[in-house]
Amino acid sequence: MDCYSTDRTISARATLFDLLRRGLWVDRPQLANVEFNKVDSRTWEDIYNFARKHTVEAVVFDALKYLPKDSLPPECLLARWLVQIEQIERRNQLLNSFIASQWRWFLSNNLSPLMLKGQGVAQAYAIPSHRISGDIDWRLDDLSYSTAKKLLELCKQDLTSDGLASLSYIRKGVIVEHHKDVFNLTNPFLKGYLLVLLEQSEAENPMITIGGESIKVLSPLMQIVQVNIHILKHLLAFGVGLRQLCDSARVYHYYRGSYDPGELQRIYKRMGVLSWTHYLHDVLVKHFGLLESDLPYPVPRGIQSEWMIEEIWMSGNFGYHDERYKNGKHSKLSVRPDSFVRVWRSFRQYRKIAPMESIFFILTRLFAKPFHKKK
Amino acid sequence: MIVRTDLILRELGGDFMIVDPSQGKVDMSQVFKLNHTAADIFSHFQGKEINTQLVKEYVLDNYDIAEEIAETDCHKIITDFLKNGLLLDR
Repeated sequence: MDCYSTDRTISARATLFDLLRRGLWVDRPQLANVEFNKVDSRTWEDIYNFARKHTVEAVVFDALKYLPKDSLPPECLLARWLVQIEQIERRNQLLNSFIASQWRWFLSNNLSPLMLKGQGVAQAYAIPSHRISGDIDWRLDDLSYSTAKKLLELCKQDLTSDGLASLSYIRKGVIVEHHKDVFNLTNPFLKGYLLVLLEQSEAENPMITIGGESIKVLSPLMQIVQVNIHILKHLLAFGVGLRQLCDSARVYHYYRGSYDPGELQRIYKRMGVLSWTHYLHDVLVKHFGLLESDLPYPVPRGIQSEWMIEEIWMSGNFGYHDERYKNGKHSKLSVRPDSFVRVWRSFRQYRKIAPMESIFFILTRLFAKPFHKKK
Repeated sequence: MIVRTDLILRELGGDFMIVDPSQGKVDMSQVFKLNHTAADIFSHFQGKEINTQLVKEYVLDNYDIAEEIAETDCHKIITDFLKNGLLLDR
């Protein structure tokens, strides 16, 4: 038996999913009454470590509030967990203030940004401050993008750029990214279609309050597409963690009734990812507790998505902690070990359910100029 | 003195815990466990003026307890709050 499938690991995994569902849907109180199977202290340690690997420790923590005292983790772990929660909440608070200050900076320079992912998606959570955010992503139109770049260069800001459509920098300890594109699709034949799509939905882009500022985010329809395409992008590369799937489940729930499900289905079809979404939806319902009624269209009968949740489970947050490759070889393709083997494996897994994107993704990976530091 | 407003009281399995993040780096030394009465007093007085007399009045109004015991207990609670940095000079 390998280290990934010991009895303790299996128990920890099952319990983690149970807690994740309870924590993700604290706004569905009936889940709190479902019986909980007690686990021992070593299994609790595993649960905590798995939750951290998948950056869902704060969501899982929310489930603990509803457990009876004799089912809780040992006190020393609970205290450690609590410290972690406090840090996550504080970081989110800081991020929100930082986002607000950046928004003011953009506006004062007559730039027109749109916030992508991150704290915008957090609004869809029952407890937004318990979603772990990484960097801050802004979408800027061509003119705003180049103006912002010039302004940052004038401030002697160290920039990292792909030379085309994205740049990133670190400010006050936060990674900020500017993008010209909203979607991470590599299929070049969709470029025009995606632009039209965004233009059409622009009038529906809502403003949400973050750090005291009204900040523009994507329309419900585009937000859902963006979150899910982002997942696909990472599945085609090195994997995603449970947190990204939580994002998907929460936005489907949160925006239910605010978009046209038929239109969403047509968009997925045009993007060539409709088949893949059936697997995604199946995973969301079976493992993340999303109600079938929150899905835009039903999962066709016969969809077997177990292999996909296995991949997600093993790879973790963007594949940084994938135990299967910890002794793999390093190459120029990525900082992650065995990068080519992993991308090829992903290609083989997804080529039938997201064919065009799988092909163009691997081509882009192999032939695109790697990120370089701007002098 | 007032009870600090930047602290969050959390209930887990009937126990109450507070983490003090004010030192910048949060670690285990800043985790405080409170019993039910102390937690109730903490939430009631959070952001408000606090002293032994006020706490004693609150406890006598809300708990079935003799005055002398209340006096001693409330003094102890205030001392613990103070010792653990849960109070702020105003």
